[in-house]
Amino acid sequence: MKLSNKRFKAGFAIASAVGLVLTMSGVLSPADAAGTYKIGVSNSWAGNAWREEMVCAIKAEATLSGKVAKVTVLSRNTDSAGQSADVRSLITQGVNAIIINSGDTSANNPAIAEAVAAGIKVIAVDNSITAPNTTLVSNDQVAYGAVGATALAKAMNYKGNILYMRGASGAGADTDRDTGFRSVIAKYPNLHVTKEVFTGWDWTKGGQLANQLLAPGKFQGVWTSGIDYPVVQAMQTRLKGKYIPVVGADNNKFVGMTASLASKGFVGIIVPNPAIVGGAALKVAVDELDGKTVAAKNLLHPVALTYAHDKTLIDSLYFAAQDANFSSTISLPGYTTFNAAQLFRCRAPQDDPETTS
Amino acid sequence: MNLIKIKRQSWNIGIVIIALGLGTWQINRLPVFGSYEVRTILLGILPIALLSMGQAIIIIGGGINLAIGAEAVLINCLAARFMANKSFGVAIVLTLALLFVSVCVGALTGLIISRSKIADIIVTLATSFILIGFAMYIQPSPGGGMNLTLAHLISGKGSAFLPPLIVLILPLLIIWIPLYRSRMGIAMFAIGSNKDAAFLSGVNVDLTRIKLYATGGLFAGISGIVLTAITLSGSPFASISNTATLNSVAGAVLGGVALSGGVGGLTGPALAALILYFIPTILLNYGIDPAYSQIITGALTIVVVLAGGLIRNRGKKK
Repeated sequence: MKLSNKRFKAGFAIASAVGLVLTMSGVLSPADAAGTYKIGVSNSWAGNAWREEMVCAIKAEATLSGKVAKVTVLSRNTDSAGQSADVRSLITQGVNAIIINSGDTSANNPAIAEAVAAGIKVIAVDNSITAPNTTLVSNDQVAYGAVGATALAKAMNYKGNILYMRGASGAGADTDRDTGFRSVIAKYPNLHVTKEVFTGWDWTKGGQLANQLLAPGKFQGVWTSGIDYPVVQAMQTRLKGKYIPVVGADNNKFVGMTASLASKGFVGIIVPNPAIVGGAALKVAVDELDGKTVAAKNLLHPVALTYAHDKTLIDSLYFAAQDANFSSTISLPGYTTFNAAQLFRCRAPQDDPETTS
Repeated sequence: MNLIKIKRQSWNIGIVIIALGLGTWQINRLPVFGSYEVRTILLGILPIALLSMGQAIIIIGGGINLAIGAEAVLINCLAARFMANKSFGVAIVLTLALLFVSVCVGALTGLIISRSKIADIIVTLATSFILIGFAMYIQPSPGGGMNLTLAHLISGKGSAFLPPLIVLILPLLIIWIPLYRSRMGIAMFAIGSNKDAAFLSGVNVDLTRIKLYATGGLFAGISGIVLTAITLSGSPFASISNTATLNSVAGAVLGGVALSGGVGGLTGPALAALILYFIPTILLNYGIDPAYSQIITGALTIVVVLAGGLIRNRGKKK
């Protein structure tokens, strides 16, 4: 009697295993390769609009380059051990280059060192890493912190209290922006960072923090690490329609608010942090694989935009049809070649081989 | 192996077959498969396999530890903070000291549960917050390091896959098998099956529980040390500990441990980690949204628990 139960148990396990494998292999057919280079992408944060746009820029630029056969994207929410496993998984798949947006400046270094040793070109995008023999393609995050702080100091008349809303503790971009920000603020004795918080680059959390912290007269300016428009929204309720200057990024809604609320006295300071830096990383990866000499650091140089000075440019950055947190810079001259439609299609070379030529 | 032994191992055989199926699928996709690839898989499963084993011991004894991920994160942060730039000898001593700390943290958790009579799930939920708080105090932002010789001894180097394999199997051999065969092992299954009956039969329920939580803590400690060896740094994030804790429960359940207690072993959870590793890896490589791999892992867990429950209930009636 008991024996039959156990047999059933074992039989069930076998059947479910076979069933699982059959179903999945039936649904998924391997993609055809049509090109030369295989590019791997490791992204530590899925479900974030900025990161998704970055991945789309990599795919779109790879398709247009005509030199890439396949882009393998390992994009998921994971810790360093998980991302290291993803990097190793890309190595085992024989990719020629790995573009990595690392969740940690150093924790993936052992896996990255193994990739470099295997002759794979490693390009860090957006977040810098400390691993040697790798290439960085990123916004100049130190300058990002500095130019925003400079514009904010000016907008605040060089005095008052700042609400300092950082990104995620430990991320390379956050550390670099902090360096830039503090180097500027230290120059002005009458400017004080009276509250420092981490939003984790989470829109909801940023909005909640702004709603808790903002009070009339408490702060004279806000610096955000890109979680910008929820802060402006919080001001509308918490400060009863009065606005204090806010430093934000090129997020679609923030761009729109900077333009539309300018007449009501709102000073929005836009420091672009283009998500399509992914496209630039792809170009650098292809250049390296082509044997061209590439600088170890390829930095985009952000400039602070205000509606008083850059009205036309800011108006051109607003896309009414796009989401609130769409990163509205859609072209990086010298790096990217896609147009808006190609970026939005988000197709890798293996997705539609007929268009790669 | 005779028929009775095969019967006893049927769950493990089932898990091995699923893992082999998924493994073959993954390996077929790779251009080459050698020792480096084996090491890649081992490093992918090691932290979660160890946590699942620790969780399994506690669940078999009728409890559950929602702080097991936090214990691992705490040890990870302690290790990264204090082992950076230390000699090999000092690192070894520190490793042993940290494993002792993890045993103490586990024992303390067990003691609180036994003395307070508050449900395991509540106490460990609370201790998970406390432990993460300590981790953030010790290592406010990611960083630190570990002696490279020790890191290579644990996680291997290049294509040396034996070190992580040893780290995976050794705890099974030197902790689980002696435990399983000892009086404490019998007490563990007894209190997991029926605490009152075990007490009436002369089992010291409280002491057994404390020992089980201590052993679970030891596994969490090993997992934390392994995390440090893999990443050469410590990350004090609650999100890591939460994910790790939930995966450890999934690993234990997939590995044939009944949440009602008193049933299961540690080989299953160790093997189940393979499944938890292969599903997302394979799906991600096909460009499928990571959310789907979570759905599939979740669905598989439910199916396994349902099937296991049905089989066990049938067994009880007869």
